[in-house]
Amino acid sequence: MKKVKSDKLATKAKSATKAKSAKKKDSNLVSINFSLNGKQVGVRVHPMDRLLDVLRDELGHFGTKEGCGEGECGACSVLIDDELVNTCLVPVLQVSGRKIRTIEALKGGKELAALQNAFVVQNGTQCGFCTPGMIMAAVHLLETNAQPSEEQIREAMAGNLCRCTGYVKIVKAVQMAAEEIGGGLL
Amino acid sequence: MTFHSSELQMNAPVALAEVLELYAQKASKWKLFAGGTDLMVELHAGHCHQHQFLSLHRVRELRGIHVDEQFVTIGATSTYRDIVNNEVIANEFPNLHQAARWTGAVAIQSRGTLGGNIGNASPAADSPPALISYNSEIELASVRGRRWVRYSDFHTGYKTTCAASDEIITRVRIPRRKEKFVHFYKKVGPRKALAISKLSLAAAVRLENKVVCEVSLGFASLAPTVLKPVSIENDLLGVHLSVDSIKQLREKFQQTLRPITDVRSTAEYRATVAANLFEEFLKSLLSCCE
Ligand SMILES: Cc1cc2nc3c(=O)[nH]c(=O)nc-3n(C[C@H](O)[C@H](O)[C@H](O)COP(=O)(O)OP(=O)(O)OC[C@H]3O[C@@H](n4cnc5c(N)ncnc54)[C@H](O)[C@@H]3O)c2cc1C
Ligand code: FES
Ligand code: FES
Repeated sequence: MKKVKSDKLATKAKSATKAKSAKKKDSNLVSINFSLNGKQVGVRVHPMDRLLDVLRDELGHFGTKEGCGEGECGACSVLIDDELVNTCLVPVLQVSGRKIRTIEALKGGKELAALQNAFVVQNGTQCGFCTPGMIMAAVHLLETNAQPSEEQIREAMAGNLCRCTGYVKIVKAVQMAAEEIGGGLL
Repeated sequence: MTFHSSELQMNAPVALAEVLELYAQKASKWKLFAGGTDLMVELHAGHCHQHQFLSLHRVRELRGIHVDEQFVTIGATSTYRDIVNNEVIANEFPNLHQAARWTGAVAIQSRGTLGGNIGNASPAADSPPALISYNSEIELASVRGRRWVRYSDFHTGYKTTCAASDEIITRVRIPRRKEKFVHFYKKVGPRKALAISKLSLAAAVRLENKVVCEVSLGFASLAPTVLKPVSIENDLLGVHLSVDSIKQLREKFQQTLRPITDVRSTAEYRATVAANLFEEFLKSLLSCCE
């Protein structure tokens, strides 16, 4: 069993190297620059690569997850120019020159601290797969509406699916974080 | 990744003229690409076999909502969020406001565009019935020039439209009205079932003393394309609303419906659901008068 697995890995690694060298010669590649979490970045990519794959494979931002790949689950949510989007539906060419914030942007900030704490206290996270997307949707909501009602929270999070928790806990976590931040996000 | 992005091309001109030029020269090869919320899903599912995409996102003049005395004019790449946030639309065209709020969740609303919803030509889409209920017109542009067509004439059959192969949708305009209208928009049917089975009716009606003076209806998922049922509108005109007239109208509606829905096993069921919805709409009009 183990051997099969390592063989598989070796093949995978080989094809990755192959892909990389093939990529260098690829005439369809373009250079795209954008701001990622406050820093200018440049990548050589195919124009129709999904932003999701560029963030993960080219830029090592693994906080953005792939769930469904079809806009249904919200695991891949980030903010582009302060708007919430599903990166599985965005071709990278369309983000040239724009400002992207991923879950990693929140590191060390007080909104993540408040949201993280609230998700832990309210048991809003179990396996954690949906959590980065949930947090991005919550940040987007709190930036536009510092004191959301329960209904507004549900509407704002409706595109983010969770298989583990009941949504009640997530809604409570966002409510708690909103109170804690008290509008300071704006 | 299930679609091979390395084999796909995307071009994103800044000038509309350049978009039209490319689209005219290679009309068979370029696929228009707005927010991608339909196309990226199709590509992911392996249902889209196009390789060259013409992105509209850099063409400034295609996005934005302009209000003047006569019309509210919406650029084709305006997003659902743009529509939801527009106060004139919320006040004067609540069916369209509602449609935009129904569409997907926040992350779809921030990317999905009105032009994409129309261009995708799904009979189950949410904005078309609303646009029909307001007698909207759409502007088609090509290197040959621009023209306005009535939106109700735009969809000609299942996923077919009256746009020529070199024409793109540039704007949608809705005539503003001074008189007071009653607005109605409702979706019914099993949630999560096939999207197509979700029936919806949008309507705008002007009433005077319980008499229907003006009416415009738009149905989704009733026919292979979004539908403006002109004969049913005509049946409604001049009717004095009452419990009896509503009963008669419902019967007539069901008779008229038979030929326009396709004859499948679900046709009967759908006709009944549609008649129920139609009756609910008439009753809501009556209650507006009381
Ligand atoms: C999770 C999810 C939920 C959704 N929910 C709903 C819903 O509730 N209701 C609903 O109606 N839809 C829904 N949709 C479908 C989709 O979001 C809408 O149809 C949206 O309006 C498409 O716009 P777009 O800009 O993303 O289109 P794109 O994917 O960019 O394009 C769609 C089609 O329109 C054509 N097109 C685009 N712009 C133009 C133009 N200017 N002129 C001519 N043709 C053009 C394209 O060539 C393509 O064929 C949903 C999609 C997803 C992924
Ligand atoms: S992976 Fe993007 S929405 Fe599910
Ligand atoms: S915590 Fe597991 S999917 Fe949400």
